[in-house]
Amino acid sequence: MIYLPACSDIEFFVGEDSVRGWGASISRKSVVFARISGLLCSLDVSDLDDLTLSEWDQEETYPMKTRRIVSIVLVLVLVLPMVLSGCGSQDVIKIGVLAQLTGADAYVGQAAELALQDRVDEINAAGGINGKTIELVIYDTRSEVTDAVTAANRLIEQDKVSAIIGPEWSGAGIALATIADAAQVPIITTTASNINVTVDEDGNLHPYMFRACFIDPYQGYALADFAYNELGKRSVAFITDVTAAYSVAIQEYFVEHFTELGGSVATLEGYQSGDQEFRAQLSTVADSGADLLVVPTATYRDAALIAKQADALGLDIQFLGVDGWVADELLDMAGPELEGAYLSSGLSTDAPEFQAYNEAFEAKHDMKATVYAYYALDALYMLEYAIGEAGSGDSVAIRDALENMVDVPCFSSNITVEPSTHNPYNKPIILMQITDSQWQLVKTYEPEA
Amino acid sequence: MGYLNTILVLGGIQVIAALGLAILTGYTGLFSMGHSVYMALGGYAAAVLYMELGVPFILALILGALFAGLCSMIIGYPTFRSQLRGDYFAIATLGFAEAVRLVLNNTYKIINGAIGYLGIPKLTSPWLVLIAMLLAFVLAHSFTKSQWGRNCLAVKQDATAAQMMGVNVLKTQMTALFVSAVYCGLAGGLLAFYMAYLTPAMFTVTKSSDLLAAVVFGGMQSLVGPAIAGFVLIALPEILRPLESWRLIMYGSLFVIIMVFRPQGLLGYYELELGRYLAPIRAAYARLGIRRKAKVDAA
Amino acid sequence: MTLFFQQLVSGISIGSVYALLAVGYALVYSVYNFTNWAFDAFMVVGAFAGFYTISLAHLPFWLATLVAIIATVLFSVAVERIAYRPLRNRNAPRLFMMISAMGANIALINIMNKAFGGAFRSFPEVTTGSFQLGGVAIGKMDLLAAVLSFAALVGLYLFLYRTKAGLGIRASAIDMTTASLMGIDNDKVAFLIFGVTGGLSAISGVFYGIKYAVYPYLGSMVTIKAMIASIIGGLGSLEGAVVASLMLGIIETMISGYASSIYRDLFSFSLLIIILLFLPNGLFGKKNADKL
Repeated sequence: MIYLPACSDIEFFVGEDSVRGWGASISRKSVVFARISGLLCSLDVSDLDDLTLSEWDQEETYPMKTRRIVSIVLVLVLVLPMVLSGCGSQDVIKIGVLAQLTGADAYVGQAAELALQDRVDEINAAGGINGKTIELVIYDTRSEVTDAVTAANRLIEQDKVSAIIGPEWSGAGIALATIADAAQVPIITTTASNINVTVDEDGNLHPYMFRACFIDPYQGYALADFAYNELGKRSVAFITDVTAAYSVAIQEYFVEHFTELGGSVATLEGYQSGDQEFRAQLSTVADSGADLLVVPTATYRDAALIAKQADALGLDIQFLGVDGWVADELLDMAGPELEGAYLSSGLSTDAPEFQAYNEAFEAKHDMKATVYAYYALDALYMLEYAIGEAGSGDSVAIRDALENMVDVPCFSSNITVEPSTHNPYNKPIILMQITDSQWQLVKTYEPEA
Repeated sequence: MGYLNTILVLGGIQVIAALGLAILTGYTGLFSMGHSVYMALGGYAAAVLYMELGVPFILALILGALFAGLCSMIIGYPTFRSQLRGDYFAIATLGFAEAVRLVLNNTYKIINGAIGYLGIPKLTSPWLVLIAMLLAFVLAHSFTKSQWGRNCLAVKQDATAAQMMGVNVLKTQMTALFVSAVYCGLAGGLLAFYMAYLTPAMFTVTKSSDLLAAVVFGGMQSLVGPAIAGFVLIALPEILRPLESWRLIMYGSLFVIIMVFRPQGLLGYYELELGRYLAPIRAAYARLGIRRKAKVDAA
Repeated sequence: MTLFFQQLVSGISIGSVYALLAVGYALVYSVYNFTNWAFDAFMVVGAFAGFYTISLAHLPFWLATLVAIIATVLFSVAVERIAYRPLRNRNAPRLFMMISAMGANIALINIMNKAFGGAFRSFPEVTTGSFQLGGVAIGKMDLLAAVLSFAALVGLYLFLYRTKAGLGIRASAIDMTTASLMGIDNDKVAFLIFGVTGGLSAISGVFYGIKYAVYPYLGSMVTIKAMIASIIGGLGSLEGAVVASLMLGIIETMISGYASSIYRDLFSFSLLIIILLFLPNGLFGKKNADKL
């Protein structure tokens, strides 16, 4: 147990240590400190915790007082906020909002938050719904699944919301499904398009999950149809974010329908979200002889980088994008490189019916309205209708009303909820082309046409 | 109760994982940047065992944790053997975490890749987490007080000197890594059966730095400190949502400030030792005994 | 064959940026035996400084690069003063230095995220086109980046081996304590090392910003790759860092091109593990790199 090195200049301290530690269970053990040329090495010592590290720390660079003040401040920084707490009132209907408000993808949630608050102020100014005022409780999901779950639980249990709008992405939407069902609080996701958000893997409906957007299979299907029949493309290449459920699902359904129609897949390239370098993939695409490159990404950044690098490589290929591309920053970054690219979207900020709203929004908030704001508003309109039908903030009644929505006028269009899947029925798909660094509406696809 | 339960469960899970990292970083002096990967491995392994192979829940959790421990050896052996422990190990852990996430994201058989592993039953209860947490704490405490724990401290203090004293440095570091990976694996398993859903996006670098923050804030050579810090850091964003966007700035600055001014962490080197608080009571009791004895003697 | 050469060209251009950063890691490691985890932030500081000089002040490209270098050197030296020097003077364990560096990195990057937002920005008015060489496209920016990278590396070599200050740094790298006994000012050496490596990371930050986009998380992946390269090359070895960086860049593009673009990073990390298994000190590493 005690190892004796063959060194001469070793001092030994062998003694009895004081009884400390958890109870008196650790009784007197011998303490061995071996000092080898000033290096402290400790072996089988039952109570050296406060001796080991402090060896070098004894040479203080800062006086005790400074250190003490610093530690007090540090403790306060961590503990003070714990004291804060909120309180609620009675005669209001609370609606929870889960949105990405911070981080790299904050552009998704920020405009939506403002738009929702505007609309709620409007409702309340007009006397509320059935005389009850609406209150929004907004939490950030930080793009983390666990954060979305804690925030949702907090909305349900602590804030006692009647319904929740958001989150925007499928990963969180899927995780929240069991929570919504268990707590019997309806959740209307804005842009979580994965099928498993509202229906589990065995095809059973999550009764409390709804959404305001179309689903991935539908977009994949429509894009494949458009590519094969309208663009006349026969050989497709993909560069797909393999870490995003959204991208992977669109690729899957696109490929399925495209090969069904008779097209072929030249190559399926992948990358991880956060990657910056796509030249290797693009070179392979160029070599594969594909005549169409689909980039199903949920962030405009990847699309912009891919387009710029394709341009640098001299790759001249037809780009096809998805609704995740829709952000004006994309045009600022890679407008010229993406000239002529097609993409699909559920909504378009350029549609004439939204112009009045856009101008008012920009004038008020000094920020452009985004499609994410439109989706959030659609979800809120759906809730307004359901609360009106339910006559109260009762979650179960709201759910029932949502399920039976037929042709209810919402912000962007009339929405009908399919009772068997809880997807909005008849949500049209818009195909746009990028011309002169502008979104240009090409045509509108009606589903199941 | 649901919200409080969520905080308790997620906080407890974080505590278990933070204890694991405390053994590795706090006690053995190894800096890991990718410890969330062991949570992922433990979580996925436990879920697959339970769902596909019908292994009972608790056994699946334990086997999942052990699987995470075994996986840690893949990077443990080559990096520790090369002796440049700090930097090689840190970057290797980060690389390993990314690599595993890549594989999980692209494995569509059974675990459904990036879309996520669905349909896991919600079996983790607050009580289970509480029991697991206490058990984890007691075991970690005895580990640090055992010969192994002592060896860890010696290696942290000076690996060469420890080696001269006969400590098998490689073995000690491997043991510490194994134990910490098992802890994180257990935490991951509990998380999987609480979220009822697994996706590789749950185990990002952010998760790893949350764990690291718990150890650094809580105390570099303490178990209670990281445990408390881990719990507070989970509960804190809940209470502190308005300051959300400052969180990482605060983390980073605190890392520097703590290292410069108070490297022992907020709670110091010392354990918040029960013994210390029991001591006066014990002393009082002892005096009482003496007095009683005196009374008996007087009688 | 065209594909092969195209991938080779891409690989070299990626590798040359890795090299700039990897040399920075190697230089700091050779003297302090610790990895400067804050390069990520320095790189982003450089990219933002360069971006705002061009887009707001409309200065020419070379001047913007100069401004970026100056800004980053200031940051680098400041971080050394605040986060490392107190620990170094106390002879603190390397673990603490790593955590402190890591903290400085997290704080700096998120401060920039808070100040400038997470959006992507493109460098305006900088040459982006490419020319064709037998079917292989060579980006003008890539060529410029590669040339300037190697110029910077040659400059660094001359600085280290032809100047008195360089001699001081090399002496400190061999034995810091003895060097300081011989009259070499440790703080001055630290200033020089962090200044030089800050400058290198600024250059790579500007190139990266031009090639891709300017945003706070610009450097998170590339710095990891550069660190891997510097480990494969042998931590503390400058020539090893350059060779390994180019190797890693080429291997990565070849793997994406011919094997699987999805598993590219898996190969890089596996390579790291394999190198550590069979060549524990890297390609050019010093034998007993863990100095006592």
